[in-house]
Amino acid sequence: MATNQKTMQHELALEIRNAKPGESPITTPLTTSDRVIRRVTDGIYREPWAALRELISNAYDADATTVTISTDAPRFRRLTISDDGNGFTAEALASMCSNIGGSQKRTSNGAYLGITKKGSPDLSPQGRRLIGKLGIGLFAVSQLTQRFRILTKVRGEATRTLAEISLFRNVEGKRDREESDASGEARISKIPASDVDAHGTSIVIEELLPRTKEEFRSRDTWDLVLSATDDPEDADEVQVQRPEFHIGFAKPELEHVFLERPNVPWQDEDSPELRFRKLVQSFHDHAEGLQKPSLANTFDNYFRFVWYLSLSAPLDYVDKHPFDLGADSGVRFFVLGQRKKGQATEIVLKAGETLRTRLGLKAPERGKAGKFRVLFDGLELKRPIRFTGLPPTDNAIKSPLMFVGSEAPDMRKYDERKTGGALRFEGYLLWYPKIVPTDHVGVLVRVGDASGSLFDPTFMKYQVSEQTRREQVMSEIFVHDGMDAALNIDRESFNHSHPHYQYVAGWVHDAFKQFATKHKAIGAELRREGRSVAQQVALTHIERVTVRAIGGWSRDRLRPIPVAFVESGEPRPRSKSSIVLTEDVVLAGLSKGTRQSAGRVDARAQVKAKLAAVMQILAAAGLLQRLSERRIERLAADIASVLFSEAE
Amino acid sequence: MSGESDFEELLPAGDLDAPGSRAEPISEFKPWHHPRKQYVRSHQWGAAIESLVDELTDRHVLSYLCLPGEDMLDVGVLADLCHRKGRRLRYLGYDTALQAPSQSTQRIASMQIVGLKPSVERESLVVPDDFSSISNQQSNGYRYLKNGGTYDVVNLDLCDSFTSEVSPQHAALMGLVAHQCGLRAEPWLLFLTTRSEFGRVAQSERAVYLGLLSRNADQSAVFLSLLGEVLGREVERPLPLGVLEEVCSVDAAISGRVLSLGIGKWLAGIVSQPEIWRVDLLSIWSYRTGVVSARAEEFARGPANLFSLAFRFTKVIGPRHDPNGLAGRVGGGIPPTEVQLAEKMAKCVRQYARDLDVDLERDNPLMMKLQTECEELLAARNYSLPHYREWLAGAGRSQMSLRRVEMEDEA
Repeated sequence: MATNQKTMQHELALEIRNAKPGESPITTPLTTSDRVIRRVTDGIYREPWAALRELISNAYDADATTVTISTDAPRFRRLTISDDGNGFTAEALASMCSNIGGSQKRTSNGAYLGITKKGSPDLSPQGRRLIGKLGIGLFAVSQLTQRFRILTKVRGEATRTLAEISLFRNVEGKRDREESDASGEARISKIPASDVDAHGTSIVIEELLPRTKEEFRSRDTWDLVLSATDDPEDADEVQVQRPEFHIGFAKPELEHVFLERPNVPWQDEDSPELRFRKLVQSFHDHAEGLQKPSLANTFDNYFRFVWYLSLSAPLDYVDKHPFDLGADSGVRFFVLGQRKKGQATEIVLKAGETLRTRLGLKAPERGKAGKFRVLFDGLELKRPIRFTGLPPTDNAIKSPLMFVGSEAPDMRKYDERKTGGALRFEGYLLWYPKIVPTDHVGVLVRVGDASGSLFDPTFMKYQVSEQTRREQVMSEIFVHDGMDAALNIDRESFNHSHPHYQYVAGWVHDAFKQFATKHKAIGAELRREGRSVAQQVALTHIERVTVRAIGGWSRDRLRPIPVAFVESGEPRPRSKSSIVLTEDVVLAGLSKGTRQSAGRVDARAQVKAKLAAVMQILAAAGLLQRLSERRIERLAADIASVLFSEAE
Repeated sequence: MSGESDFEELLPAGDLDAPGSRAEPISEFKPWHHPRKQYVRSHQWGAAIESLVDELTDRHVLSYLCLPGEDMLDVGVLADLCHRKGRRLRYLGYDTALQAPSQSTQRIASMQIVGLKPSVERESLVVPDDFSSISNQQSNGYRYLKNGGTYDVVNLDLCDSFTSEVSPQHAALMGLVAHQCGLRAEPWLLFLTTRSEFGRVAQSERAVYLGLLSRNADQSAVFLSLLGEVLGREVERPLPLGVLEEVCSVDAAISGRVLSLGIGKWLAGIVSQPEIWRVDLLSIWSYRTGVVSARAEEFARGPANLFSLAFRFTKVIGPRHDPNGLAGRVGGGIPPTEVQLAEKMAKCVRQYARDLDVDLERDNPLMMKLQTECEELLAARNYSLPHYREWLAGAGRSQMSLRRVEMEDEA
């Protein structure tokens, strides 16, 4: 940071700290590099939930134990995000205004600002690993509005600080050079507080951008759903599915009355936690009837956003952390082998043992300040990923397969400026025939137990064609050390050239290979076992039917006459007490397709068994007595043609 | 549609150059900032709630439905009470002022002050719906009510009259009572603040209230006598509605008491079906509203124009009868008759309909204590204390001096 800017920031901090209630607000421009503000405000389009994700991250970094979000759904006049975190010190607020995009949280300066632990720039004052990137969280709000207010209270202070933020859109060619880094304005004032020990921050977002509001309301969906008619003339129009679960739709001009009543899967008396659990359960129940159950074909935007937030925030799982699964979970566990050369090995957990205790896994590493809740309009968010109670499957492999591993490459011998520092992570790949929802297919990388991106269905650009398997795998990587620098400024994507990203991607690809190899082996084994059993059943059945039939023709000859198949040219045993058939001859009349089909070992064996059975019954009925061996063979060939050949 | 209006649809409402929310201390005050209202909050409501909390021993979280206004003073007082009693508080507030595009600074501050209190459940919320919308089951307001389950305390601190001709609350209150009595078995409290002026009540409603009293007067000599005391004159049977009308129309204090009794009777009527609940009037205070310096004399001359009523709803467990006579009657007490309840209510109105302004004038230490409490609450919400004291002194002085003259005259 330039010395001049540093001085200005210091002066602003002093001004804020010394401000008294009743004094005129301090008005200060928001200064940042255009690069940062453009990236945050005018870059790739992001859905509104992404801004809320950033605010949750900021609350977590501020050691909050509870974040409460109220959205005024289904009207969305106003969003309020309140937390009980440490609040903004004057220095932190000045830093935010003077240096948007500056990496204050991750420098030794963070402790001076009161936002990091002394001596540990990566940790919050209470010891949480910081997840917010570069302090831009608040400015992600510009996706939602151009004006918002922050009211913050620091423990021990007898005032609250109110900051009113206005963000300006860039006007090309209108600003002179002097103003080029002013991207907005903040008005900061103090109000007295008698609750000296209280601490926390409230962010009030009003005047939502019209498009943002309509997205929250699922306006596009409802307009189409409610205007749909049964008229066949309209059949060509795009069919939009009515969301199964939704928050309802209020009339734009009469917002307090529903045009579409909400359909939520919980009861009024349910606790916030139970409501969320029911939301997840109802999704799974509904998914059983869908071939590809996705969030988009089941929920309105609101619930979809809630789900995404729940996936990304540093929260507990709705049931259990995957590493806390035990022998009773119904999951088969495999430990991934050494990179490149290794193979996965199945482990069987003992009663009472979990993956964590068996393998010494650590995720999530949240330090002492572990408790963190997010309440979203009366729902307590949890990570909506389940590993048990999955939908029934017709697949031969009935149990989910989980492949687990961890990595902490020793980088001491390399220059830190090349490696980007230490890297340590754990991860799993879960295979199941139907991943619910389909949005969970792929790999999700959690840095410090939070994720800015959702599941990456390409598995970090895994190049091998494993289309079917790829759609049946969900994976999470828990990064304990490193990867921060590989995150792009918006926290939604990675810098693919960073060695940490490349290393993790390589690990994922290798893990996928090990999984695929093991999965193939398990499948082949099951198929072999299955075929052998099915074949045995079929042959036993033919035998039983034949014996019964023969019993009806001859009381004396309870045992069927033996039938032997030989290859042409092979020596034929001469015996009147058996029938010998040349296989190539008797099956020659089968059509090409049938021959190919019959060529399959099992099918051919059944054809032969059935033909033998017919011949045995004919013999028992005395119909073969006068026929020569040759004519018997010809008769067998004719019967085989009738019974087993199909039209070409 | 023109291109211009198409573009406008994409833009956020509001003027970016408009001065933002006011952060400078506020020098305008509302009736509920007066110490007397703090008395109602801490003493009338507080006492009733404390008693209920002691009774509901297994209730960890107290649920509260209210019309909190932007200062949320009632919620704050109740949160502190819950903290003292080792309970938590979950509230649902209705406030149509939230429909405005922008919230005031003091509202944001109030929400944070209350929200960060250790006893307050984080899922508590204030919604922008009109409380009266709960009578419409298609409304958002009803959905919020239903989502919150049932409420241990309901506080309808209405700015206007409960019986107002402009926005009558009967349907909403009926909907609330149906919701509460249908879904819970434990007792609950209803605080109702309403104007006492007879002229603010629609003719048709007045007839209903007075009819309820007239009928009880015909049924019970005890009630007739109590009603006479409430009216301040002897009345005889049969009691024509015209007589009641006449008495009420000349004296607002009397009309306030009569309306309070009428509202109580009306509530008793709606809770007795289909299951039997009884309604008791726990306390009734009257005071003046709208006291501002310029109009202090006018107000102080007149009688109290606001009544604050505290009702308790209790489910009546009646005895079971064996229709075949083998077991006789088992369990439960004998539920009071409608007339007995009316008599009890009339006694309460007669005994406890006290003028809070008069009481506070006579108890200066209490008044000072209440003022100190108010100052602390208001300072934290960004009100100017010098202006508050000025407002209070101006309003109070005129009122007190006038009242003293009246009292001397009486002597």
